[in-house]
Amino acid sequence: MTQPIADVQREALAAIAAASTTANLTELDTLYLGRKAGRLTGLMRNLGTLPPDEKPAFGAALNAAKSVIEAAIASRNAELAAAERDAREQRERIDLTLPGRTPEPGRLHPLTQTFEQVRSVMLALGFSFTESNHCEEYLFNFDWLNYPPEHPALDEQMSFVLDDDHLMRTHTTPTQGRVLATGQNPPLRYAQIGRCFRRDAVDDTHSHTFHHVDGFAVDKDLSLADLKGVMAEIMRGIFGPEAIVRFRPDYFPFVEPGVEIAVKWGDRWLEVGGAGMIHPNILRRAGIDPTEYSGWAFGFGLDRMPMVLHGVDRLPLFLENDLRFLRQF
Amino acid sequence: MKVPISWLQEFIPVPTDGDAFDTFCDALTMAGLEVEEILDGPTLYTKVTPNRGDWASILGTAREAAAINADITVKIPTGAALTSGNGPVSVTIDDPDACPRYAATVIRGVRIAPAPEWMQLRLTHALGDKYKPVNNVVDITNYVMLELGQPLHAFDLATIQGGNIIVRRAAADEKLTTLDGEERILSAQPLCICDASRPVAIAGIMGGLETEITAGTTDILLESAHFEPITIRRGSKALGLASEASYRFERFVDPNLVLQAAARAAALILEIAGGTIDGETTDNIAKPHVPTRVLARIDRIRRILGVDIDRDEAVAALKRLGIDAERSAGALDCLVPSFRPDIAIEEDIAEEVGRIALGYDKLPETVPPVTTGRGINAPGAVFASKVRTILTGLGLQDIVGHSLTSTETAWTQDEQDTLVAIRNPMAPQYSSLRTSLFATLLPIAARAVDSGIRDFGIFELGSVYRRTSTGEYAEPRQLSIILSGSLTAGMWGIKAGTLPVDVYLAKGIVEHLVLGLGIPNVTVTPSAHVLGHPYRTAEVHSGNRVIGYLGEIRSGLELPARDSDTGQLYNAAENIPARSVFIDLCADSLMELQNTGGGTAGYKALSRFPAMTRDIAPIVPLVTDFAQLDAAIRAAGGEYLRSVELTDLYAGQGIPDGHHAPTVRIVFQADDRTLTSAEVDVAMAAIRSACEGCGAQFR
Repeated sequence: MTQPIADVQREALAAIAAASTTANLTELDTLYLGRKAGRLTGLMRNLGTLPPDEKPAFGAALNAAKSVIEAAIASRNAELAAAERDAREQRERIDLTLPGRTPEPGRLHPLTQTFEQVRSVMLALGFSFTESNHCEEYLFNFDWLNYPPEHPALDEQMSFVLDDDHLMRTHTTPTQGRVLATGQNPPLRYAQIGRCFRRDAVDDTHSHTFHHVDGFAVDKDLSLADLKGVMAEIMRGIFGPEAIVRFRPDYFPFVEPGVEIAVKWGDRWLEVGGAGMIHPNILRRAGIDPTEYSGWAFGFGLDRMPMVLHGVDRLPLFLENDLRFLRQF
Repeated sequence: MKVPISWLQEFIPVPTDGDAFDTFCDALTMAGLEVEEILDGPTLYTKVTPNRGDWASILGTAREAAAINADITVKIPTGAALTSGNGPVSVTIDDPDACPRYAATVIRGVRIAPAPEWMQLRLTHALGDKYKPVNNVVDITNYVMLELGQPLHAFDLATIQGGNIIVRRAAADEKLTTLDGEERILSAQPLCICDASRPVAIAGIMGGLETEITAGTTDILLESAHFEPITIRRGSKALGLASEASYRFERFVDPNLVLQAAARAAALILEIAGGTIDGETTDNIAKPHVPTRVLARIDRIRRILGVDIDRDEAVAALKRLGIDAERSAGALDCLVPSFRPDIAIEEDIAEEVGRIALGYDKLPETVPPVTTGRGINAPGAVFASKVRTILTGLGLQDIVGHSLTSTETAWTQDEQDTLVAIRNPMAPQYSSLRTSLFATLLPIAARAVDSGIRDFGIFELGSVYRRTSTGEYAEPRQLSIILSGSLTAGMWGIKAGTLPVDVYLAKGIVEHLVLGLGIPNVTVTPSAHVLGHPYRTAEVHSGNRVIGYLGEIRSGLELPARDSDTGQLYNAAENIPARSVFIDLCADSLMELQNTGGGTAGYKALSRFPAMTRDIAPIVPLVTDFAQLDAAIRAAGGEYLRSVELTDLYAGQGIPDGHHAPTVRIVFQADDRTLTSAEVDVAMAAIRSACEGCGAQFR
């Protein structure tokens, strides 16, 4: 009695094995298992005509055949679907050598990047940042910084004059006097990043407009060794963990002792700026007792730093803002 | 200072082989006297810091090397035996503060000739182009100045009237023709060296032409004097005349060199030019030099340096520096030599101990604890960083431009009235401070175009400078932007010019910016700007306050500027591409208005129910502003209206002249349930009729 079932199953399995597309399989599914006209479904109708004792065996054989056919369709479908996806994806191959495609991104100027890097290193070291004007009073640019009147040290800072009392600041060091003049009590730890001007001809390594960072601290028992430690931290934050800081005696009227700071980066020593212990005359002028408190101060240029880090050969490039240059950073 | 090594070797041994020589130079550099270069000769080129005038001599260089190196002792060349007393020429000093000491020596019977070759060679190495051979006597005075640091001057004795030298201030109308042939009016009252009737030299700066040594000179008067630094510096500045002598006097010359230098010069003159010394040297000490004493506590030195210092090593180092240091109950009693005017306080002694006894290479690195709390950034920097993040995120390039520009870039009357001019400019293109960021941005944009970049957006957040009517300097910060070409131009497959920059892009940038800064209620209204197309320029308001402008850059503008290299005048607007747009915002206002509060930006709960979207495309007369339509839609849309958004604007075929067809997407949503189509239909009917009320028709 189950012979017709076996025949349908054999025929179906052969057809499924021969199917070459998933669409064929869908047709075969309908042909053999379709609810209305499926061949196996058709045999189901014979069930009613069988004697009661044969019904269970016939029914079981039918269900078994249905399962076998369904499994064969599913298995063949998996094979064919994978092959068909492969073929489709192969047709979807694209030329990955075509150029990438985005709008031109906005970028930060390399000087802005340098300023922000220095700023974040110094904020982490506890420096609070101030801002003040580029048009500065002689009072803060020189007098507050212990420049003796009519001293040759002034010749090193040829300035742009605005009027008898004002000039374009020649360094960011006026931040010292501006903070101290407010009468704040120690401990103090302040810094400023900003633009400075000197009457200097423009060449590959000089410009009349440049940028400095100045920092200073006043506290009990600050020493030159502390200054060296803080400078080393800052320089390593900028130049990387291998950077080494060197001090060499130098002279600035606002510090005593005064030093020049150099950094070893790669195999070169780069002179980056000046520093030293705040001159007691300045502390006294601020109403701070120099026998109780001491301080240090430092300043360094921020234009040559990206020159060195990026291998830029001409300093004026930074303020020329040629887009072909800026788009490299 | 250029120090010929052969000359230095007369004072101290200088190693000649490569490594030892490099070590010698490095040691000088690391102790403070930087050897910048090795020049012909060979000659050391050293950097004399303004506080160490004593380094401006062979002797000073030798002394420094000997202080660093305990094995070296300085050998000082001998001079002639001069006797202090009353010589044939008397010396009167009217101003002992300005001239504390003046020595006059008379030498008779010299033969004037060129200086010997060896001396000329050394002077050439030491002075470079500044050396002009004169004659044996004058060259000897220069030689001794370079050797010992004491400027000297020789007069032809025959031209000195009255046998008397008077050191006094010049009278108001006095004149003197100096050695360089210039007639100088001495009205600035510099200190003068005078004979019985007239000035014969400007003290410490330059001698007079009439009393100079000439080929016919036989008897000379040799001046060796000490002048006070500020007097000489003032005189030099007032006359606009500087010399090797004034350079040294400004930096303080050792007063004890006066006789030593005269003796050295006299010995060389006698040896090279012959002659004999006539009598005693008149040595007028009007104001004796008082040596400085500094009491330096060892403990204080240690605290300044932050390192333990051995007291005996400190004393030894100070002694090598010529400082007579004696131990005195925990301190060092230091007698400072006359050639070190820079040493006056404890900190100065600490520096000498640090650099000579210790060496800064041995200074440890310690990081002091932060006792001031966390570092707080400047509000302006926080703001700037926020603005730069927003604008670079929109594809704009950050610019850092020059502050110095030409006076011609003050393009408006207001800018001209408030311009800050430099009193001593270097060049016309850098003669004043910018009043507008476009003074720097327009040339940068033009340069980009010249280099083949036509599609860009650039911005600068920076200071402009104004002088207020009360004479104060103001440095408002501006935020200015130029957009040119198309910001999508670099994307292949998108036809160039498909999405050119326009005023709406500018407006969108401003909208994103104020959103990012948390500034509410920003609107624009038609206005005027020096760069702007008269019908495509707007004021940007926050409430009633004008915070800036945006618009299309007008064609045919004439905005004068000067080329940064050549200084030539040109039109800064000339190469700006047509239809470029600008934004010009007052950054200080933005900073003031920004929301820095953190939690107050406002949040509206998100509905969990679906939104219903409807598009309408009314045909609207051009005279009806979109704002009017937008307001009408919002007013009519009912309580579930959530957004009104323009998605297209069409004009052309099918649309009558004088009209266009905006497509507007309207979104409805309720917070508590799903809206029904019928509800939305009712709202849309109201919206349509509101649009018709603005003159719109529907197809």
